[in-house]
Amino acid sequence: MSTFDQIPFEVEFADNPEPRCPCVLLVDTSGSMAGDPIRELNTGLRVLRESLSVDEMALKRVELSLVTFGPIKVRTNFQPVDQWEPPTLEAIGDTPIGGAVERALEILEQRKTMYRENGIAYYRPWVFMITDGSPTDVWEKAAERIQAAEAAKQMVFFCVGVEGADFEVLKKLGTREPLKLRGLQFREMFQWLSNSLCAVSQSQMGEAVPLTNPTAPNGWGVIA
Amino acid sequence: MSDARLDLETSFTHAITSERWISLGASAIGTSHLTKGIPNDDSFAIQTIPREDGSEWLVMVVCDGAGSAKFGGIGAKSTAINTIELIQNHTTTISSPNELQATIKEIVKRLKNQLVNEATSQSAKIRDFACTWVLAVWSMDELFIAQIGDGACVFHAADEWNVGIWPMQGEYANTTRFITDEHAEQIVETCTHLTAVDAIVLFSDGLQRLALRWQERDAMQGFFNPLYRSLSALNPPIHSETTHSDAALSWANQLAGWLNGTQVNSRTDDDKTMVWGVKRT
Repeated sequence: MSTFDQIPFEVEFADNPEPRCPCVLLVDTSGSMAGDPIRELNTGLRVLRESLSVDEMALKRVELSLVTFGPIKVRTNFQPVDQWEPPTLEAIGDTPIGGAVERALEILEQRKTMYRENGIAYYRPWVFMITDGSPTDVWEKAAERIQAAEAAKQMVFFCVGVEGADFEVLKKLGTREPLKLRGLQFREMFQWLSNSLCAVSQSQMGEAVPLTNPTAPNGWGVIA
Repeated sequence: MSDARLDLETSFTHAITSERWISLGASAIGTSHLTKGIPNDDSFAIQTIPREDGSEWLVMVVCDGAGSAKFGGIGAKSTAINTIELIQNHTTTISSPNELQATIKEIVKRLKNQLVNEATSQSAKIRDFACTWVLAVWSMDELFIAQIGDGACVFHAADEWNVGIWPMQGEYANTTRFITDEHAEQIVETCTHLTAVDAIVLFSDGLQRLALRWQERDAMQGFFNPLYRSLSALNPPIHSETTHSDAALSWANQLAGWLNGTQVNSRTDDDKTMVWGVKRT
């Protein structure tokens, strides 16, 4: 056999930044979430971080941001999973859903601009909203923005209502049916979110990402 | 459950040599495909075309079947083979590769139609056969490149590796264009290089983040140079054509082994195809 069989390829590899998979968690911290709901929600956020942390690709690619309402506040801007420390949330404010959605879309746009300026590829961003109430502000404009952004494939908007949420409004907010959280299964819900983000962050070119159905009999959600 | 991985072909290679060219390629399955039990959706084809003036052109194609398409791998394989045939037909009446520019839309339409026929015969939709397409047609003094989708063709000229057409991507990391797209003939990009090119490499998107620098939008010199040096060692002394083509195939097999190795697999989990064309000196 020829001699080059023994020659190893001393190849250098391009050191490109990983493509990023941004996700905004838009979380209702209004007074009505007090007690068990907010406690389970806090546990759920830690489940999300832990389960994303054990996935090598998600660890490199998923970036989380936490926005709470009300009052509307960006609690953590986009951070990789291993740097993301979800604060312990308290239930105190009202429910300005409209303003919160607009704030989420705003920080997403800023993030995308940053990606583009730095030559970082990214996946379609997710906005994942959790609420147990009814908007206390004008939400119609936010609904228009969500629907326009979905139509332009600028993001994926998921909405989960906890018992007591105004599902009539939530249905008008996005293009996907809102889901109703089964009991207080926040842990299961965030586990699903983690699995879904892992799947998206590992998808190849042109690959449709199948998500598990959260409304399956043993799932965390029901059709509202 | 039986282990589907056992049935999957891990790599394939091909090599051709002539008085003027060495061309060879290797394609290796991605680790994510292995895990999911789906075959390698990449394909490639290489062919020399003898010219009336006694010269010879080299045609190289790389196609990557879309992960979302049911028969993406079949689409890629058919398109690679069909491309060679079409280019052979389209080059009989032209005198330089750049003249393909005039018929490139027609070529894309024909390739698409061939997939439509294949889809119809299997009661499937054309998008089930979606694949990307990178084509290089090279004469001794002119290199013509055409492309739809991602992956790329880089060429070595004046001691530097240059990118022909940058991989087409949508806004998002997992989106690109395919030859089956509705207006594929409108989105095909082409370029021609007249400078003295001595080597070209076509590769699929599985290697693009390793071989290209995204921020600088250029080719990673240190990625291609060691491989080129090793491949150049195949050049003279040549004792006979048989040994030379054996050597080329052996190098292609070594390339396949490397594409399947941990160095590469720790950086990409997608299918990886790399096809080389080198002018013999």
